[in-house]
Amino acid sequence: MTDQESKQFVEYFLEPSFDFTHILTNLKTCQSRGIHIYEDQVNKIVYYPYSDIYYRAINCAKKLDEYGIKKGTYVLLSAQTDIQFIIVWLALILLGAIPSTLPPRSAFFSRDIYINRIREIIPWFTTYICYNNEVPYIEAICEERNHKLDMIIMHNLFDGISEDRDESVPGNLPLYDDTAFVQFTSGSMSTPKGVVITFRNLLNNIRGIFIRLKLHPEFTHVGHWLPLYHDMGLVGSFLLSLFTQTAIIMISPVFFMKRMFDFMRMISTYKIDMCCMTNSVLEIILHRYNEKRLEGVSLESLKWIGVGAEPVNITTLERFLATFKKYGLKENVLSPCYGLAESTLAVSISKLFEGYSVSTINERSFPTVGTVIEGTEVKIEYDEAVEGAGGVIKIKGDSVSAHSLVKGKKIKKTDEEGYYNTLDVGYFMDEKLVILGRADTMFIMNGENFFSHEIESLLIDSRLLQRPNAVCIPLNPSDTGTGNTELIVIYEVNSITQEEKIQLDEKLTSLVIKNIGLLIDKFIAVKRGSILYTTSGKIQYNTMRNLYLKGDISDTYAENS
Amino acid sequence: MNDRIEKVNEFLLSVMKNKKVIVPEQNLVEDLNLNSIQIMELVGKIENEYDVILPMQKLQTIKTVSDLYKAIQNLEEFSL
Repeated sequence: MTDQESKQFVEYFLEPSFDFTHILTNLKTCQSRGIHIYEDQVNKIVYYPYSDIYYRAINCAKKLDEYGIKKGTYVLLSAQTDIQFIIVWLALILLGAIPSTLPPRSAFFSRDIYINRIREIIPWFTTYICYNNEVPYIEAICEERNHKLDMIIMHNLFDGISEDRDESVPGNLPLYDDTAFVQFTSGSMSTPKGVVITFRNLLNNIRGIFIRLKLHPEFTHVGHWLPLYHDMGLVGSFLLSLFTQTAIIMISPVFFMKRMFDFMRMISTYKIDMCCMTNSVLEIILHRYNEKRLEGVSLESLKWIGVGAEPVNITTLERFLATFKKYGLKENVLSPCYGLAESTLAVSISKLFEGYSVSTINERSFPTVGTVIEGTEVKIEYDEAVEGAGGVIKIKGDSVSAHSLVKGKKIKKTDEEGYYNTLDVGYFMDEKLVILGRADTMFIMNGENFFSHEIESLLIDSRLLQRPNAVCIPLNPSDTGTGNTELIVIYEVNSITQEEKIQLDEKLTSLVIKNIGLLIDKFIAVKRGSILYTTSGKIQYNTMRNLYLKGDISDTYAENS
Repeated sequence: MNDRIEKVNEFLLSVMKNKKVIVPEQNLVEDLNLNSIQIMELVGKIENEYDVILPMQKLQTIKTVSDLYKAIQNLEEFSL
């Protein structure tokens, strides 16, 4: 597709031409493309044309209507990667209801982690569409919080559902500025933050991605394995494909984590053009690399692998390319990108085969993360007191969400000019964005700017740690009382003696000095689960800092030490 | 059957670090400190070795090493 053709294809995503019936007509008439999805029950990939999905969603919407789901109803939805989730999602949209995805029970091995992820969100909703195996946990939370919740069991919703191809949509179709969904993202476990995404936000972001990647619905095949309760999985592949009727091949994150080389085989079988990865998943693939399991695999069809959701390491990208080149992986396919739920998903991405450039500051290298997508504006606010540091990134545009949902209340989070402060720090290099890190984890040593994640990645990648969990906390001179900034590193262990820790700390100290040139003032070994994360998996730096300053974090040694 | 248990033990050791002894009563998460990615790697190794796929519902019943041993006794029902 030419740029002009791409733009024309998604013209009706823009305000003057927007008409939801256009999207529905496209789905209804699309027989030749659809969703190929791995189904656990039958243990194979099953194909559903978009037109079938559309008719099933209408029948599902009628059932949901009987349950009392109406336009504007906020509904929690367990995001298991299966066809039922997809149909329910579309059905809710047809009714004008507002879905909000939560992780399914199957996403976690630990019962406690699952409960912690959903506990604080449930009390702010009155309806939860979930699976049978989740009911006891949800009921226990409701009892604990004395909260009344209507649970709609997925199985019951589909039991005896009509198979008619009736075209009458039961609800009132959504308007451009109606809320499309609420994406729960950062925020501590106790106060989860939901990002309110409108159809204006969603369609403009999808349009920006579509044009930048020159998606061609008749030929493009999207590969999907990311969780549907994560913005990159929900918007970046599922909704992007659904709203543009592009073929998508979906497997669950659990299946992917078990059998990632089978996903690579699917790339060959379905001639997948694009998919998304995270830096840590590229590392896991490299770690598990098994030549025997990859026999006959071809990655030649891939034109774009978006790498995002966490800091991207150039060494990882180089090692991945070097390892998979012999399977046909082309240069410049790995494309670091930048986005956040507050921008629906994408802020900047590279074109197909554009890859990335390397930007070096004070001998430290960072990959570019593409150019800003159409419809989004990026402003970088530099702090004159800090030299050569990059500035805080602010975003504005039709993709940018204006509100958050915190404890059931909508809170405005853009400023008077419509900008949202991402708290990320970066700069432009030849129109391409470079991300240095988070403003709240940046610290200055010897006149140079560093970020906690640089030290954390170095320690984790070194494989010296027993567990891949570490946090680097810079303490300000006011915290330390010494007039100096001090660096504390807390890492998780399974079991360690005092003697083993001394030896390990010596190795870690040398590693950080050699690679980053910084001296870590103190290492603390803590037991598994002591490092606290937000609901979206980000480290809770402030909480960890406060716990340390209060003296609540100290070394945990094995009993025989 | 002992061959299968030995194989599972071999896979367990390959995904764990700093653990040399495996006892059937040990909980995979709490005692062996496996994270979810390591558990998925372990299950993937078993599935690849025996050419089976363990459904998600079955996976959720596996808590201990002993559960894992029991699961591999009936692998034939999950064969591809």
